[in-house]
Amino acid sequence: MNPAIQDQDPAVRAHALRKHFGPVLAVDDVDLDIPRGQITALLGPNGAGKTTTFDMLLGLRAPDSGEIALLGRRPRQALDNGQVGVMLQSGDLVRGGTVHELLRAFAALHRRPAPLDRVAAQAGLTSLLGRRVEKLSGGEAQRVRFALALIGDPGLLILDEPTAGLDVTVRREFWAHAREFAASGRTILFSTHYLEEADDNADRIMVMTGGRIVADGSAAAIKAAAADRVIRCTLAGAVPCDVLEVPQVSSVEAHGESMLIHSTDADTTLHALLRAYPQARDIEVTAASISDAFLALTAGQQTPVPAVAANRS
Amino acid sequence: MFTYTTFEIRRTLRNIPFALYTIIFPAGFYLLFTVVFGGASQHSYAAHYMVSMGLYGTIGAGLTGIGTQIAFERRGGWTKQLTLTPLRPFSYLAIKVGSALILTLPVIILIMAAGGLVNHVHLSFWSWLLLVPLLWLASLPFTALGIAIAYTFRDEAANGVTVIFLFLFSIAGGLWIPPQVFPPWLRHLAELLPSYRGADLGWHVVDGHQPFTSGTLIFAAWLVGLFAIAGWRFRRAT
Repeated sequence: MNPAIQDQDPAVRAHALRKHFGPVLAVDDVDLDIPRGQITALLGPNGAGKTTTFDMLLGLRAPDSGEIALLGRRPRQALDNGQVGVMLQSGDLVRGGTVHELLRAFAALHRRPAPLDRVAAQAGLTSLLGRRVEKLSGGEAQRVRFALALIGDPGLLILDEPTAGLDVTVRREFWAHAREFAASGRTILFSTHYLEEADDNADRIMVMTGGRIVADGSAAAIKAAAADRVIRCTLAGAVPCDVLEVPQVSSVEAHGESMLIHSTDADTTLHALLRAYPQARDIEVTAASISDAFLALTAGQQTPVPAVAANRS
Repeated sequence: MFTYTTFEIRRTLRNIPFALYTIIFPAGFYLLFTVVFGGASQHSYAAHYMVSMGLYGTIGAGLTGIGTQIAFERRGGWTKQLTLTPLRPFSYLAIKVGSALILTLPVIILIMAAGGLVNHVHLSFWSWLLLVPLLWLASLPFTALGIAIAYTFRDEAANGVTVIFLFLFSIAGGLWIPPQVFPPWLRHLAELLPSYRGADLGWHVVDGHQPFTSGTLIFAAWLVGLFAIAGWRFRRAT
């Protein structure tokens, strides 16, 4: 195939992905379209369907339906060419060898491996090559796993919760290496359930919950959207385009007299709405689905706000 | 695949307990039961028991090297990492079986050295040479068993099942206690087992006969049967 045309294929393209496990719909009609050269985060709580999505992208699980292309190729083909490097969520390294021996043996399985010196430097392993694998700390083992992902000289890295279980310093070190890799025009798609990890490192965040992508945009846009609320009410005699004029309203859906009003600040909108439409009834305020996702992300933490602050310090 | 196989062998040999247990232990056991507890003066016993312990060691190295190791690597996610490379599951299996076979070489050589140098077992050059591939052949049903275990049980469970089968087949097959001293019923049972029939190939050679008899058909049946099961478990799991 013409390489010039190949280069225009997006790094990841998935269309209408679906996957059931028994009665549970783990991935529900997911579309991904990720151009080359971006760092994209797939942000979501545990059980959102992130790992299942990645497993399907990598051909480890067959989707019930949907289409997948990595760099314009079928997943298996892209992996065999070494174009896609992967860090799986769980991955014990085999013991008994040195880091260098492990990397060399792993490289030998690839058709066109990258030079080991370069991979070691990219992963920050140059001083650890002689170390036995079983003597590595958690952070060092993570760097070895990152090096394994780089060995095929990939244009696309898929990292499934690459820093889960690591402390803040190690996490930051890891991202310094990963961002350096991405700076050479390559693509990274990673999953995380740390909001600040996505915020700090991704150009783009896709929020996933309940098997669906509920938001997609820059970190700033996503965080703003997380504050969104939906006001549901019955407004006799109101016109949707007038309701749109109420402060902080971002969109209005009308079903007869019943309205779904999206607001970026529910308090302000509601006060203004009741002044303008005293006849409003059946009022109900709920979080938008992206807010649900964020609530779930912070639900595991005892004190959500200080925890975020502490992780940043 | 060559580089990866070499890596497998090197890192297995560095696992000291594994190396002691699988490589040194059978030769030590052989010397214990021939030299220390007597019996080495009878040439036939020393030669027969050399074959028995050689097969016990080969089976042990194969079963643990394949069954336990693959099960652990599957559980730890390493095999999943390998499926994301151009390496196919079948090639991975071939590497495991190949390195396990190579790792049985020191087991066999050590026991033969003990037989020849300590117990003065006299065999023709060709008989010595023939014993190596015969012991490999005799351990193949257990290679298949190891594969079946690896793709059926999880790490610790696989290890347990491996050890149970190793002792069951070794003892009941007359590898530890010579089948000549078995009660008749146990002797009849032993003669149906692949461990007995595999060792029988070597026993014939040290007696100066050719290895294959009509009993070899029993061995062949086990070989085919266990490989069929191994293939079924492997295909289901990958």
